[in-house]
Amino acid sequence: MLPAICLLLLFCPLSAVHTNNWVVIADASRYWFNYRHAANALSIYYSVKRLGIPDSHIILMLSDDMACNPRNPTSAQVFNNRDRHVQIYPDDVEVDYRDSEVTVENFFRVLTDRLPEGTPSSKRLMSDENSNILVYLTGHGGDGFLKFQDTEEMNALELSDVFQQMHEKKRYNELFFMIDTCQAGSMVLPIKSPNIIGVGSSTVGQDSLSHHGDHEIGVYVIDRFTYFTLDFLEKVQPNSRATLNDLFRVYSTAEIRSTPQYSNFNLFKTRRPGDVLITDFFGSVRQTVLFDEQIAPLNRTVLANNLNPNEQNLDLQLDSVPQLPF
Amino acid sequence: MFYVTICLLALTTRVSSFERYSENLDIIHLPGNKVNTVFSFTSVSDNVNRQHFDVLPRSLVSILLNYLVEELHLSLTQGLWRDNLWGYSAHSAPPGGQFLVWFGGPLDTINERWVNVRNSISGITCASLSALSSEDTISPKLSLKPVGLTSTKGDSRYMRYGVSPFEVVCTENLTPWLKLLPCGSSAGLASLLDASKLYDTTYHSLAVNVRRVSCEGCSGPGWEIQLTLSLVFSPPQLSGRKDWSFRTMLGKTLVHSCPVSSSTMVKVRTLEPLDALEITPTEYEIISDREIVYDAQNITSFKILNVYLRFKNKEITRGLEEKPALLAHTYISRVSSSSSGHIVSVFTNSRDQDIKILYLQTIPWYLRAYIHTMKIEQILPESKILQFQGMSLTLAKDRSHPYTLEGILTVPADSTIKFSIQFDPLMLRWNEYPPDAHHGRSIPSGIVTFRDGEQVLRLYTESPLVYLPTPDFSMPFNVLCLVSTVIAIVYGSIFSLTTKDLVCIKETEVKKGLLLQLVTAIRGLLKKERAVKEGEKRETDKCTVEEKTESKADEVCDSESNETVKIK
Repeated sequence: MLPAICLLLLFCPLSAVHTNNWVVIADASRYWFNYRHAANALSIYYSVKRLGIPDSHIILMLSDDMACNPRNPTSAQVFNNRDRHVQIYPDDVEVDYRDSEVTVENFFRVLTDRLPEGTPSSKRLMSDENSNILVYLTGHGGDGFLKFQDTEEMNALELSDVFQQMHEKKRYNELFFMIDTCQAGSMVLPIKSPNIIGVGSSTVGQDSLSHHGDHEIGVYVIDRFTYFTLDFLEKVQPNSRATLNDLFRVYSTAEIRSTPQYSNFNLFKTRRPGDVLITDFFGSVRQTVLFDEQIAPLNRTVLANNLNPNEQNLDLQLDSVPQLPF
Repeated sequence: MFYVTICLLALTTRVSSFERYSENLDIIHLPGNKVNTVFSFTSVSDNVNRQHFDVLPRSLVSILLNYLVEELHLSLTQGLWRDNLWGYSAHSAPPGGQFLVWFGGPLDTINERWVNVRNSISGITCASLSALSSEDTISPKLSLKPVGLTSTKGDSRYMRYGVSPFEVVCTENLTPWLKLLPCGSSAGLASLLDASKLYDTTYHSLAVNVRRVSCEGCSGPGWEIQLTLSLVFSPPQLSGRKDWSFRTMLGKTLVHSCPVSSSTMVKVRTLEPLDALEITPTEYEIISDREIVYDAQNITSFKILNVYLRFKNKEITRGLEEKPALLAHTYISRVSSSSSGHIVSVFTNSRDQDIKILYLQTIPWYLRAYIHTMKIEQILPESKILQFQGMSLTLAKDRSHPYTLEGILTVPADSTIKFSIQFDPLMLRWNEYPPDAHHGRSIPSGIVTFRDGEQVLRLYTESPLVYLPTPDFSMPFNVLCLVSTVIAIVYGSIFSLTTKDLVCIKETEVKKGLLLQLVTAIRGLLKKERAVKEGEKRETDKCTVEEKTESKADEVCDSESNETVKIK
């Protein structure tokens, strides 16, 4: 009887076992004319926030300031559609890494959590073996690389190594990697770590194209691959049963004008893409546990004493000092 | 209603015991039809060593306590405050980011605490302060003394000051800043803030100021945390007219005041006398002939507050009534990006008495400044060489810290003084250039401190852009690839030659594959056969010559057998 149950469990599509969700979104392009890349990244940011992932679990990296750029006619606002019905730079936006902080080194340090001591928790990916992570990258790329800030490159093999490190350090349960760049397939194919699904906007040798421009802003505002991703995500609600297969179905070559490249689905050991809910990566798990008994409050006096043993030193002989030496 | 009153009562009684919080909005008309809007949110408490706070931002207080901070000033500014056009600002700040911390506690851990405070504050404000390395950090000996109470006696070893002129300020900085307020952006004056209006201004400066104060009713030295936001609006650009209201300028009106605030005041100061304009609502108190104040807490209890000013006179006031006593500017005088240049600061005293100033200039290490070229001269009304009356100089060290130059100067009445120092730009290592290297780099603005009457004023000069000589960035990469390949080839072959040992191996020891074994076996057999036949042949040769035909037949047979071997 027991082996039968074991077998049944083995062949049944396992329900999501993750307990928390994390998102890393990076826009690797600098300069105003790459507005669409910032808009791509912010579109995904907007979607995951809408589906319930809090800012504390989102690492947003923007290489350039598009919202408050002097060239932006709509200051402190970013739009990903010329209709402008959604403002994707909300009032509660939290950009964790910006401008020259967005480097390949920092990106890898975030993924592997090898950050300098004292790095605030808002800038850290504090995931564990029960985390589902969505990694989204956008920028200009080529065969086997993604350009950061127009000065350095992220190698595809380096990235796959970093994913392998994350696997070895038990930093994820499942990882969904999306990349929207030219020849994105070259970034997806080298991935060999288990439980990763990767999708790139185009195969090796193909360009990824932009969708449309806004005449007032004066630049292209979104890329095709992200546009159709977003189009799909807009219809997803937190309780949706849509799966990754449904998402992959919207990537028609005729619409995005490039062939999406998927990683080897056999890497994804436990489930098939048809069993993976979109909200397993784009939404947040919030399990509420109700206690019947009352929980004892923390002992305040103990904490207050631990808070700062040197506090009394601060109150010693406080004087005002002259502002000027003359 | 009864319930609400009880709630409010409970809140106010709790606050008044040890924490006080107040909100102020000062709207000051500036010449050239600009409006300076200053929001300030002040919390005072006598004791912060607690687990619960009513109005103080806990996230900030725990940082202050953890790293034994006595005073902290952070400002994030976009644009330049124009002293010559607008007069002095009470909330002056240099362009970009500025971070100043005075520490208490032991001296030996200050460097470590500075790094941690910087990281923590950058975490709670979304500012890239972590990019402020030791290269941008100084501890000036004479300037930037603590404005609050201190245990350090103003010893500069207890302070760290860093400036990043390139710091971007946008919505992501405003969001966490608002979270430090007890009512957030949902009530009170902070609910007037709308990012899309705020960042469409000529000047905006966001600040967090923490200092120790002796407060009224406090048991000991208290803490004051003041969050300020100074904006300069240009109303004609917004509405096409000189009139303005909260709605046209800020895009919002005040609906609720923050219930935990002890007072919410909105002050309006105009350049024209009050009878030259029409102000609504009329529930204001007159302070002087050009200044009124609203008690917003009272007004919002029965209606929405939307201050509206209509001007009877459409003419735009230009120029200040009284010229500022002292003006300071900094610029770079230079021919090309690779040539040497001068950092020049000009101070103009427009009063009829001398003004003694303290001037601080930081010069990054990558601009090699020549101290012997430092020159102070009076250029107006007459040319004359002057000297610093006291100075402090810290020389730069490459990749470690910048030059810090402080000097005390007397600017004579009605005159202009010019300070200049020559520098040579250094060629950096190719990976030390910022991503947008051709944009150049801004040097920190100069800081001028002087006494104007009773108060001590601090002016910040421009932070000029210096173009650095930049290499062709694709070149080092190519060179690197080429050189690495050559080294790999040379090193690889030398390495294998010097480390490999040539050893003779007996043939029998070599393990052979099955096919190879078979082939050798057959070859060995054939050799044997041939050797036997050859031996026979030799024998027959020796014996007789007549049997040649037979041997020929044998040969045919041999060749056949050879063929069969081949087929095998």
